[in-house]
Amino acid sequence: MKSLLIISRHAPTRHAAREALDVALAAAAFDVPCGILFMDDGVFQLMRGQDAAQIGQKSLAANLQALPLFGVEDVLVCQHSLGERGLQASQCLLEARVVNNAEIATLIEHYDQILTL
Amino acid sequence: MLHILRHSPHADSRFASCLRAINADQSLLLIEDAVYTLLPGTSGRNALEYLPASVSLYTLESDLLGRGVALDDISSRIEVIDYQMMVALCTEHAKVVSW
Repeated sequence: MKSLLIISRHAPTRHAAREALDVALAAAAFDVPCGILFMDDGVFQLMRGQDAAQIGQKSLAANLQALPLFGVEDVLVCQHSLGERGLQASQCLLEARVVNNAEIATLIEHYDQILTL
Repeated sequence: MLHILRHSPHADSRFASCLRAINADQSLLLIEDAVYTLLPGTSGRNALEYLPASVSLYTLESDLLGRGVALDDISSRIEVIDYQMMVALCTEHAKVVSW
């Protein structure tokens, strides 16, 4: 089966954030080898202490925590995007592997299909 | 004049354009994804610190809490307000610019 890398680039308040997680979980549920890379504003999804009810939204935390349980192999976060936003990997609510630009380039080569949301 | 920013500072050039267009003695309110500008150690936050002291800065508490931006990390020159105060701000100012 072809492998799939999902690049999630939007803040947690945007529909695309939830959609990227849904695709990752659905793919993993069907045994598609898949990974998810949080990049650009997508890294905000990983911030701890989000109280989504305050802004009339549903939290993404449960979906995020389901990623390893569903067998999403690679949970990755872009080092550059974290740095630009004053965040550190240790502050993330999910254990994500920090990757630099060169590693991202390699990942995109490695996966058969790439989906950016 | 009240300027309102509501998009992430990283997404496009609204933040930079607003900062270029703001005058001393005007007000700036950061809501929704624009509250990410207030994270410590970012270029956006530094840019806000360089605004003249006469520019009043506000942000919405529920948008901070909803996004996990810690209230303790907010610069002392920024006033954290609620929805009622936001309405009051909008009515107090003769003009509102939403970026």
